[in-house]
This record gives sequence, C-alpha cells and structure tokens, in this order.
Amino acid sequence: MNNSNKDPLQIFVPYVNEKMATDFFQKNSNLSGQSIHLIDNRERAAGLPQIYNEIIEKRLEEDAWLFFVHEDFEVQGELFSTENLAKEAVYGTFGVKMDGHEPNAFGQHRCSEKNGLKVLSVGLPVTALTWVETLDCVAVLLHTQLLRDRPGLRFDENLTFDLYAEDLCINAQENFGIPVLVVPLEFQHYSKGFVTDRYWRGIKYLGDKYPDVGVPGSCSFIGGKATELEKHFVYDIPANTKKRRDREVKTAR
Amino acid sequence: MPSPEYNKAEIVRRTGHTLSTISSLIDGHDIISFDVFGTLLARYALSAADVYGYLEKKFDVTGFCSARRKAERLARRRFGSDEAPEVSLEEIYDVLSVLFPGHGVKPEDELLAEEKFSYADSVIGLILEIARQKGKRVIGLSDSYLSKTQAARLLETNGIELDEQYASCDHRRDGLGKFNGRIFSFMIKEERTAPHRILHFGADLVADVENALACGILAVHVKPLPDCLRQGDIPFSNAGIGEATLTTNLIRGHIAARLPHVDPEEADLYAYGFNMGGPLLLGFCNYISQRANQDGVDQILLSQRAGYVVEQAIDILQLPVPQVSVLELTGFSREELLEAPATDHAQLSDEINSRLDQDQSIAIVDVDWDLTVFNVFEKLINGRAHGYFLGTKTGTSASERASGYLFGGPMTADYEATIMQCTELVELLFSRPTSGVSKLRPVTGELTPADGNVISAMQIRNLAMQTVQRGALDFLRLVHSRVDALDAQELVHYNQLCFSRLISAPTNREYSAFEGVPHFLCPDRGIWRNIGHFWNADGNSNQTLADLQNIHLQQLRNYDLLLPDALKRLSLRDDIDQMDWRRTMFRHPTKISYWNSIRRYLRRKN
Repeated sequence: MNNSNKDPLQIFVPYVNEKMATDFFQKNSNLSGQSIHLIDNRERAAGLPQIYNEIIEKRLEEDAWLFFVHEDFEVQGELFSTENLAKEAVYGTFGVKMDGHEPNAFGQHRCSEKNGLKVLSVGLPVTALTWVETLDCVAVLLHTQLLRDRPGLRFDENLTFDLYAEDLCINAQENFGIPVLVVPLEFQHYSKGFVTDRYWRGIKYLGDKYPDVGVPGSCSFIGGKATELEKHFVYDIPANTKKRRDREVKTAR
Repeated sequence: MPSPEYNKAEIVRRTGHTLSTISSLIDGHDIISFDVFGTLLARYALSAADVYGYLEKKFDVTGFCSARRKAERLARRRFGSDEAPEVSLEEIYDVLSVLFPGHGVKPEDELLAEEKFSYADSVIGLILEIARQKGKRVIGLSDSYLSKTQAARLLETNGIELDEQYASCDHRRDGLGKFNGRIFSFMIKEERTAPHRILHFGADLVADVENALACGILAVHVKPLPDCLRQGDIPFSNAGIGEATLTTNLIRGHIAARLPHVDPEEADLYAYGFNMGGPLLLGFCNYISQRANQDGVDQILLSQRAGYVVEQAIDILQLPVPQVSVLELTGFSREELLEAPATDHAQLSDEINSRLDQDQSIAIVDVDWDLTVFNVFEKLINGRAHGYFLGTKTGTSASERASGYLFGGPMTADYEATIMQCTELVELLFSRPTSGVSKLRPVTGELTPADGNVISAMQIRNLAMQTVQRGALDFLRLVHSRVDALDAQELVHYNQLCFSRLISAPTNREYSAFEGVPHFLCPDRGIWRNIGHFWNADGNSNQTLADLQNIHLQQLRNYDLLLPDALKRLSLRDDIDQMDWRRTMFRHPTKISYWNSIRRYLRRKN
C-alpha cells in the first residue's frame, strides 16, 4: 500500500455565494492552517467538473491531496488526517453502498436548508475508513499521483453540477479497480433541495455511459442496471418525496 | 461413509454416463484432465463467500466478507483486463488493504480456511483412480486466483496427486484460462499431444465443456455438488428455506458433500438423520456446552433416554463440557419417577443423592417437553440442578434453572405449536433404542391394545431410531472440525424452520419415510400405532393432489436441469424430422445421448 505520508492538503471551493464560502471555509476554526482556495464562479458559471479538471491539470505534477468541496459544506469537527491514507483510492465524506437489496449511506452528517434550518441527520456514522460504491458530490478527495498515473480518471464535464462524483467513482472502480472510501468527518451540508430535471438527465446519461453497471447513489440508483435494482428497492429520500407530492398536487389540479 | 454403490450411482447422476462408459472413454485417451476447483475439489459450503464469512467470524472483523468480494472485483479491474481478467490472491489482498484497512487477515489465513473447507469429491476421485489404474497421465486445470503452488497445496491436503497442473493464475499476463479456452491449447502444446488424446472433466458448461470441445478435446460435464442440492426431490434437504446465512450454507454444503438420499444402501430415514437430525443434535449439544460453562456446572447428567445419542454426539464434537455421565437409575423407570408417592420420594432421593457429589453443581439434560421429569427430579435433589432441555413448552411451570433449546427465544410460538404436533419425529433422534415414548396427539380413531406383536413393533421402531441416529452422528463426524464457523442463533432458527416445515408440510417421500414406523402410545400396556396413523394424516391426504401437481412440475424442472443443452437445442430444431441418426452416429460416435435421442424420436414418431 502506497501511503501519502505528509503530502499537503489543498482545499478547493468554487462558489457563487461569497458569504457562505467565506464563513464555512476562511472563518472556520476547524480549517485554520489549511490551504484553502476559494474560486469565484459567479461570472463564469462553469460546471464544477470543468473547474475541478482544470485544477487537476494545474496541480498534476505536485504531490498533493486535492479536496474538492461545495460552498455549502461546513466542517464542524476536526479535519481528518491524510497522513496514513493510501494514494490509490477515491475518498469522500458521504457515500452509499448496497446491503443486500438496500442502499446504505455512510458518513453521518447534518443536512439542512441553505439557512441552516430544518436539520436532518443523514447517513450512518463512520469511525474508520469505510468503502462505498459511490460518493456524493459534496466532497471528493484525490491524490495527484492517482490522477497522474491514470489520465483517464477525470471528472466528466458532460455532467455540470450533479452526479460527477458518482461518475468518477464508477469510472475509478470499473476501469481502474480503484477503491472508493468515506473518511470520518463531522460536517453539515446546507443543501436540502429537490432532485431536479438536470439530475434525471444526468442519470440517463450515466445509464447510457455505463450500461452494465448498477450502483446506488445518494438519491437514486445509477447505471444501465438501475432498473433491476429498483425492482427490490425504491428510494424515498425527502427530496424525492417532496417532489413527488408536488407532482401529485399538480396532477390533482 | 458412502457405499461403493453410491459413487457409481453418483457418476451416472452427475456426468450423465455410466461408470463403464466413463471407463471406456478413459481407455481411449492418453491424458485425463480435471477441472480443479468445483470438480476435483469441493467445499463444505455453497460458495467461496462462505469461506470469507468464516474468516470474518474467526478474526472478528465485521464487513470482511463483503470487502473481500469487492476487493476481488476491483483487483480484476486493476490488475486484469477483459482479455486477461485473472488475478492472484496477493493482488486481491493488496486492494483489500486499501479497501478495508486494518482487517488483519492475510492471504495465508484464507488458504488455511480453504484447506479447512475443501474436500476431495469422492465421485471424481473414483474417476481419477480408474485413470490411474489404467496408467493414464492425470492433469489438473484451474481457473482461479490461486497459483499452481497454492492449488497443489490444497490438492495435497486432500490426498490428490496429479502428474501436472496448469493454473490460469500463473499465466494471467498471457491471458491463458479455461474461460477463454486458451489454456487448453497451451496444455496441448505443453503435453506434446494431439487434442483428441485428452479427455477433460469439468463443472463449468462453457469454460470446461464448450471451450474444451472447441479445442478438439473431448469434455464431460460434471454437475457441481451445490447444483445437485438445488434439485427439488431431495428429501429433508430444506433447500431454500429461511435466509441464506453462513450457518445455513455450511449445513447445506455438508449435506451436498454427502447427499445421503442418493446412496442406494441407505434408507430415507438415514437422510432424515443426516440432513435434519444432525444439525438439531449439533445445535442442542452446543447449547448444552455453552449453558454448562455459563452456569459453572460441574457435572452433566444425561437422562437415560436422551443420553444415549447426546453422549456420543458430545464425544464426536469434542465440546468443552464438564464431566458427563448418563443417569442410569436401575429400578426407577420414567413413570416411577413421575408417579412415585410422597412416601417413596425419600427413598428415591437417597438413592439419587448417594450417586451425586453434594458440592457439585449439576445439570440435567433431557428432551422433556413439559418438564415433568425435571420438576420431580429437582425436588428429589433439593432444587440444586440446572435443566437443559431440547424444548420446553411455553407456560410449563418450572424453575428458572430450566431452559429449552428449541423454544427458548422470542418469536418461536408458531414453531413451537407446529413442532409440538408431532414430537415423535424429534424423539426418534433422541430416544434410546428399546424405550418407548408417547407424545403424539391422536387425530382420529380409538386406541386399542396391540395383539402380542409389541416386541416386533418395538424392534422396527428401534431399527428406525438406529438409522436416524446413525445419520445424525455421521453428520456430526463430517462437520465437527468446522463447528466453529457456525452461529448458534442462526442454527437454532434453522432447526426451528426445518422441523416446523417438515411437520406441517412434508413431501410425500418424507411422509412415507415415517408413516410405517411404530409409535408407542402407552408402552406399559403395549399400545402402538404407526406414525402415519397420527401425523397430520388428514392434512397430508388433502395435499395429495396439489403435491402431485407440484411433483409433476418439479419433475419437469428437474428434467430441464438434467437435460444437456445439446439435447435441448436438438429438440427445438425444425429439421429434426429430416435428420439421419446413423449419419450423426458416424460423425459423433461418442455423443451417444445425442444420436440416440434422434433415433428414439424418429422411431416413436413413425
């Protein structure tokens, strides 16, 4: 196992909400001393995979940990140490794997509205590295050596804001045999939104891209074999439930 | 041990050819090659994942089994390719060290576990022996993550000697394997022979049969043992009942290893003893051992009735138990214990106490559904005994010191109600030959004394008991070195499910095995009837029509499973009417079933 020893951790936060990014990262005492890069994406409005890939290309020759996180991600406890992490793996803070026919989410955290209200506890707690099938896009940690050795392992820029972490995980496992793991971290995700049409377009895209794959994601099954998995389990996450209710109301009208 | 007739019958069942056909096929070839994993070697489990499950339990690393399976999939992606997907055990553990850090299991541990679970398939062993006797060169082919050296170690452990072995793992960089057929060409080249001089036996229809045939090697398909277990007509196998757990898979793996119902020299009651009695006896003995150690018991007293088989079982299993002895109270029958008047209790008490050390903690072991014996006994020895029983009915008045194996936990009311309808089936396992037990509820009819044929009936019952107990003890002999892999809770649940299934919904074959066994309703007065007279007689007859339909459907399914693909395809050919069986025979002389099927079809049609 090739461990990272003391390669630096670089945190990258593309943002459109400056206050959120500043409060959750620059002013966050749990991240003091960390190398944080806030990337203003207000004017450019580029897809996150595109921004992440650009960062990767720029940093590829360094030996470093690249931690890609959303602006609405607040670390609320001590940050994990990268010292003993194997370089040849994809890490995140929240991910899903199957237990029999049911998906289980790992990486317990608080999930709330943008304003911090209506907090839900999501996922099972992890106290050690825990392998999963896919990670949520909220936070992805990669070592540059992993990316340097595998030029095919990059974020898919056809996916703009959803499912790119899931795609990376499927790509890493299916094409490179790279494990995907959740690291223990206390955090809050200020993003209790809806599953959008963009998400379902992404699901269709990944179904075509990986016709022989069926894996659980945070909000639905992913891949060409997703329908087979849906025969045994139907996702009923709050976001889906609300959307379904809205649809029912619309239909009733 | 299976009889020689068993192996011969199994050869026909698993290869579709008789021993003499196989022997003549061997005669016509110089090299006999065997698939190693799944053909020469089998596992006392249903899949490799059960071995990982065992490692998870042994090393107490929750999640090891799923991580190990995932690591293998990832390793094949990382180190292999579509053309050459094979990996080594070390490569799998390399990925596993990242996927599941700190798991603490080493490749060597897995190899040791494989050694523990693997055994030489006796049917294939017989074919191998014939090949050896005929002076043929014997070769092994393996498609697995184990190298030649690792596979050779497992073969050696199981007493299998080969002249040469080719492992896909050792040639993974070149993409040689049975899965793509390239290892057959490699073997032909290495052996410096022609393909038609090689005869191959293997369990995989594509990798072993189609790919070998494609290289010009004559291949015989050998049905794998776990597949045999899935055939529906196996009595007392309880296949598909309950959740698949490590425990149930191991029990079924041991049943698959023996398949007692196939043995022409064994009665179905032996299969009952092996398939169902064995797991029940195992669970009960484990329970006794655990409870005795937990309660700090110094001496276990087995009742005269249950002691006969339980003492042998404890001995076979080599369980950590305190001193065990059978309580043989000569002169005091079970009835005397129960019915003795208060005046006699003192005499009985003195008699029993004189045989026991006053300072010792004692446990009584019996079947005792209603705890009547225990309650009397407890009074006689002044309430200082623990009681471990096979099953104690809910609501039975007893001290807290008494506990039952089968009905002890929550959610067992349904099982209890069902099993209590016919405890005689269980008691056949636990009774001492020569004693009579009455626990059946009469459904119809009056009880009448027997007419002087009590001794004969008793003899028949004894024979039945001996057969059942022999089967159960044989199961324990087979399983005893892997008992540590079983989970006690899973085992008790499995036993509950199996016995309630048997008692409530026996198949006709299962019912027939018991219906003629005499059952003594009142041993003192010699009143007896056959078990079939009492056991769910109405329910069984009501099920007959549905059973027949199910059997017919099952037979069709079995037929479908047994029929080779080549014959299935033949039956679907539009031009079958125009085919000439003689021409087919000359073209494919060894495909006897094939051209004979065409011949039979044409003869019947015309």
